[in-house]
Amino acid sequence: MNEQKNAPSLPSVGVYKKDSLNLLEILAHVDLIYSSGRDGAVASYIGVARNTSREGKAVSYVEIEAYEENANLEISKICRELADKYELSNVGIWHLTGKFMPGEPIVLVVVAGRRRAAVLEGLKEAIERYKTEPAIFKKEVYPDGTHRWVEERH
Amino acid sequence: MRSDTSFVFIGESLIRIEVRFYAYLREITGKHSESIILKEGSTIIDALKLIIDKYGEHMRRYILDDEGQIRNNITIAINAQRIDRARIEGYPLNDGDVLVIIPPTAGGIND
Repeated sequence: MNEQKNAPSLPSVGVYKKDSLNLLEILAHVDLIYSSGRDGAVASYIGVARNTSREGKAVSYVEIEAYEENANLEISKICRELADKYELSNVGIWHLTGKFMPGEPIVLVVVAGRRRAAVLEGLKEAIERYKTEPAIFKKEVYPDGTHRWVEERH
Repeated sequence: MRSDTSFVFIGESLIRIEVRFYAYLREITGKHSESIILKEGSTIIDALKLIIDKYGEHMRRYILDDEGQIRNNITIAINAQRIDRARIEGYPLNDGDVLVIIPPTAGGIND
């Protein structure tokens, strides 16, 4: 099980099947993280399925799959390490798997802490790390029916 | 003195591991996972050689670079834990291990 630091009422961080978790619902309840008054800043990020590829090619939809055991471990590790590194009260990453039409949210990152500089740095690093460290894979499917597995640039 | 046993059979102990395939590798193999049998004491490299032998040149080029080294963007996980590149060479496998060749990841969003 993953542990969501200091946010007992939010779901554990990690990967979820698309229909089993509503990212916007989590976003609507981030006040559970900061309402104690100890934090001065909360920043969030939503990764959304786009209708074009990196090269500008039209995309019909994307499919996300994960090696869940690894992805959950890696996401928990990222959250834990960044909370320690930037002295944040909360780092949460929730990533969905399944089929996504353009415009649908795929991933939510929420970071909270006492200082905005640390919060923004932590958010940036969380986004960079979740894109490369957990075993999460993206397939773009194009209007002509062809597809391609997208590889992150390192 | 003559032994009662004329022949001694030294049986090799074998281990069975599960190899799982994701993303493009699943398309190459046409399956999500398979079991492979190895001699006890085999390493990650032994398992990779067996997989490459089975699936051929396409698999070899996907996993290994021109020098025969595991490509920088390929990661190996045993039982969900990523194995440091420096430890792969002699990393021993145990019966029941799950080995995953992790292709490059994309994190679900564009840039």
